Amino acid sequence: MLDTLRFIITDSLNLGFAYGLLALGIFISYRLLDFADLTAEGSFTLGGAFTAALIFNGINPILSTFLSIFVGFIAGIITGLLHTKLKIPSLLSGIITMTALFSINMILMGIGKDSKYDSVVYLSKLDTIYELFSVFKLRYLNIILLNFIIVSLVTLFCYWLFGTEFGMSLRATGMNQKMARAQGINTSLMIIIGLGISNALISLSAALVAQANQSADVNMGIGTLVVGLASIIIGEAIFGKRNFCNWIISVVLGSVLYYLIIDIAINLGLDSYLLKLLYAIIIIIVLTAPLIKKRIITLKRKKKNVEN
Amino acid sequence: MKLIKRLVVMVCLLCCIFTFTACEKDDKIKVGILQSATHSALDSARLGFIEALKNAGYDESKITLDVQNPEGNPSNMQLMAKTLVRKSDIVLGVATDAAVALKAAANTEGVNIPILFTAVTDAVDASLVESNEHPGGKVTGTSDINPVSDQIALAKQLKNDLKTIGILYTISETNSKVQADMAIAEIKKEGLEYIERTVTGVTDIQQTVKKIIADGAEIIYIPTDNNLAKNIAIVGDIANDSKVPLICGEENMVKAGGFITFGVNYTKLGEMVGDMAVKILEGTEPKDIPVGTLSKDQCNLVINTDTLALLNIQVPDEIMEKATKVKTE
Amino acid sequence: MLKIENITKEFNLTGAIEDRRIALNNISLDIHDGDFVTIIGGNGSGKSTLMNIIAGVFPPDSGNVYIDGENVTKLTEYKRAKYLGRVFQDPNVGTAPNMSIEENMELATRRDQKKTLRWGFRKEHRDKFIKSLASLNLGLETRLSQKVGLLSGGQRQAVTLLMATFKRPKVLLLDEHTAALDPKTARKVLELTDTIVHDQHLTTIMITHNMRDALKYGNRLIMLHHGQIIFDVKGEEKNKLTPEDLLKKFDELENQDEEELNN
Repeated sequence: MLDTLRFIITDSLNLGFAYGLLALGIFISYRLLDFADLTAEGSFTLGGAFTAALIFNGINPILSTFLSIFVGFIAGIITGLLHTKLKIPSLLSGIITMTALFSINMILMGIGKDSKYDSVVYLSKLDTIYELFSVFKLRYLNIILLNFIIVSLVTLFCYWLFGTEFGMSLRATGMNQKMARAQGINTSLMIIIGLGISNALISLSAALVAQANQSADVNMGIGTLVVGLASIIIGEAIFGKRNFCNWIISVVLGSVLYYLIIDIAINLGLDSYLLKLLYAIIIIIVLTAPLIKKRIITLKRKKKNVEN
Repeated sequence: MKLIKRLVVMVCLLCCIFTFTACEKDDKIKVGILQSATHSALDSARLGFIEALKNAGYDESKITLDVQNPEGNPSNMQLMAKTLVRKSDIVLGVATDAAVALKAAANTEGVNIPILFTAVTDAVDASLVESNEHPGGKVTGTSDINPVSDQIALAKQLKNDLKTIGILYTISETNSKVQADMAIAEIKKEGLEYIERTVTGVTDIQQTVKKIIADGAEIIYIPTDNNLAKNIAIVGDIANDSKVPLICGEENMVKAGGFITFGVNYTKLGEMVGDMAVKILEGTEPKDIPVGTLSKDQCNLVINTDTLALLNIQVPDEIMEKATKVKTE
Repeated sequence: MLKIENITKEFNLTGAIEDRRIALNNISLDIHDGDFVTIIGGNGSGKSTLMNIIAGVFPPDSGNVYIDGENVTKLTEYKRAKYLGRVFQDPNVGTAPNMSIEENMELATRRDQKKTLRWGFRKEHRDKFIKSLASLNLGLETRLSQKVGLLSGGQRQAVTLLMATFKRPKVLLLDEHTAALDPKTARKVLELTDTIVHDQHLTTIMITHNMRDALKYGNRLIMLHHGQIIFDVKGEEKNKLTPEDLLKKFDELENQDEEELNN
């Protein structure tokens, strides 16, 4: 049983760190920019398809992974432009980009093959970054370590970025656009670049996931938006957001915790079709936890007052 | 500080959960099954597999069965694959994505167990095996490659003056594309015309079917496509109204409202891979077991009499005699 | 310092005739360096529209805006911000609620600059902020890292005022900035406003609906009605006016409107 426990921890670290980047990306758009960005499922698949396609065609995996950041960035910029320049409502802008990306992803996955498009790329015969980074003999340990390093670097980067003049202006834009403009901030530019950064992280997340799973397919982004949001909510509720540093770490840990919970359920033999019900219950518990906390504190105070 | 305290609490909770979960230390063989989604063809294959094991003596007394189904959710698929390869002695992946996930999980977790697959159309393309004759690794299984040439021949039998066949499938399903390409090659060989159309999901099925019929398709061929199999009723409604027969990839699609198939029987496919499992459990190496396919004798000619009534066409006697007749379920 | 030349602004041009509104009707105004102008007018007189045009929130249909001789009519809102300090009616609009007082003030220090990738918190600024906040006498100087959202409305307006004037603006725009505050706090904020404007010799435009305040503060008073300036008094003439005089003027205008409607 200790074995199972150990594996649950390694599984959740494995997926939690990789998807932690996804959570950070969604955090930037939803929480910092206050922009409900639906591009995520498209840009996630884009990162996976793009990286897998490059590796499939012989390009160095490290370079391929690195370049996925830029494709994601472009996807985010497109959504940003649709919204700020063409005045398309935010939800619709994300949907438009996500829809267009479906075709682009199919085309990417067909590169180097006989047909003009494909819905999947298999990587098991090729080297991924995890093959190049073999510190340990066991592949999953390499994955955990490399993902941890990458997530830590990205988190540090985010902490630094949002403390710069530019980053502060971006956060101000998300909080109060009118005030931001009154302080000389180009809010349109902030939204465009902010969405770019957000989707760049989401793409990078997928590049890691595709290489860990040794395949990328056109459906790999399904459900990732919900996963990201759930990770943020769980992370904030359990680990708090007292200051910015605390906040972004909570988001990543939230992702780990999310997968921990799912993995526990799977290992406890929960029937698969019940998993969706489990998600809903977890989210409810997590969201009402602060409420319950407050009630307990209020009740305690009442007791104290009665005693005095 | 609070953060660390909370983490410690979490880990302690976990340990508690696990001391209460009974560990079954027994000598039963652990068989894991990962099925990518619920779907009648895949279900039939899984049940066939389990049946074959039972018939060879591997029932509840000798094996523990763990069936996981992520219902299409990618990250759940990964977690389930990892869990299964670690705790099982042998695993089965039902459908390509499940098999690929199991193989990747085994690689990642450093586990070296035999991996079986079924309902995979092209195992070489999916990098599951080196070649169909010599799989070469720890992976082998059964392929649901369709007797596509026979299905196209069926079309000609149904309509003597047939000129144009429509081919309909979902763009994101590789298996479908493989079968569609084979169908096109076959159609060209027969000197016929074809119209190839794809759908992306559920929402564009209606318009695409209408268009393919409007463009002149006299008969429509639908390979074993998961999305269309689930929604065959939608296709059937429109096709039946226009009196266009649907030749489906397999019989579950016919039972759900299609017209006719000369197809792979997924139960038999599952049984075949079940027999492979028995061989492996009794000592054969997977690399020495070639990928299995059903021969033509093992394929079924199935016709849906309800659909026949709606279509109101003449079916040659030899087909009516040989075919298994079913009604819409 | 601020010149408004033949500004016209209509709303709902593409809508039904009943919905079309001429907010500003060929309005021209010359405000000199150091003027503290109070603007009054009934609802729909065009006061807020005028302020928005000056700030660049939307462009006029015709006409020009000059700040310190420069034609800023084509500059968008954020590009124009370097010339202007603004305090809004809604205390929630002037500051970013989830950021600390320090962060908000840091933003204000860069109102006229490009936002670079330099670290946003400057030690040199902290001392200046503390001095500045101390002058408010609200105890905020010890709460620099507190989130602005936790402050009261009056405190937020005070902070907004500091932010608007931290880097000297060419024109200070106050859009009914005490309207949402209780009388006592409103008084405090107005006195603060007066002090800052006088200390820094700021050219200021203040919209208010309180006629006493309109007369008490500033050296010049303008009354708008139906998008036009119908009353503009300075210095001695202004000092002689009483709130009752202004009320009479309003009544006159209302009667005029009614007559027009009846005809």
